[in-house]
Amino acid sequence: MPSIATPDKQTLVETDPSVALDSPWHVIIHNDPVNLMSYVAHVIRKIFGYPDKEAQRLMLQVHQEGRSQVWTGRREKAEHYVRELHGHQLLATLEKSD
Amino acid sequence: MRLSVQKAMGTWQLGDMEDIHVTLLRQAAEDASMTDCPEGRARLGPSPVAAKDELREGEFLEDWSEFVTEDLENQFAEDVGTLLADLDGLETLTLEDEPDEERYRVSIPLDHGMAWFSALNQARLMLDLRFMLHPGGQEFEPHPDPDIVKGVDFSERFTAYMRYEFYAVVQEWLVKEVLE
Repeated sequence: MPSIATPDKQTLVETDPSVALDSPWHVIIHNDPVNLMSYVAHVIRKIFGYPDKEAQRLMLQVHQEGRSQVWTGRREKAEHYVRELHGHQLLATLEKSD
Repeated sequence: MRLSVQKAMGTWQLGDMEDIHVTLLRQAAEDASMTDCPEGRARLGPSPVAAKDELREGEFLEDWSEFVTEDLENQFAEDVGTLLADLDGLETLTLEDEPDEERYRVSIPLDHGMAWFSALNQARLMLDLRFMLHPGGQEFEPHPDPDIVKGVDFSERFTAYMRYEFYAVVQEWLVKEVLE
């Protein structure tokens, strides 16, 4: 199992004082042999609004390590993002933060 | 085949196509079909949680399957329908210097770009699964171990890979020129 880099300061981590005691949820994109690298970066940029450099970094992490934690925050929004990613035919899951 | 964008007209175009290109593009709709490919249906409607969490997430997964997966299947089917409907607008052109030679052209609205990408992507995902193009996630190997690709005809598999690569060329162009 490849190690997962912790998100750097450019990756959005959403915090909401009203749910501060809840564990946050991660959105993970998993590698697959079919999706084009340019498309994966495009989708990350489009859905999460990251700058090009960050989208490229996350896409390369998916490609090289098999997965990348692309977003962290409230469960409801994590579910929304996973649905969006599935709509773009990427493999994605949500995971509870330990 | 020539791919071009006409931003002012709000279209992109597949031009200078020969019969083979048109045949391949129409074939994409058939390749995208999940009818005989249950693993393809699972790939296009994957679980939103890792396998280790599935037991705990039972009720959530039932809801997800009922509301999200069905929606996505409809969306993906519509995307394939858009590609086929756009291909109905194909124009036939005769070459001036070669009257016996025909070429084809089709103009497509820019906002159909994502549907085209989706349809071609579905085709590639299904081809990958049906013909085991990347067993174990490895690069395509034209002469794989027969034990790995049991039951798959070598010639059909190779032809499927050629289609897979053709669709990828169009997709790569769409990402750069239409979707961005």
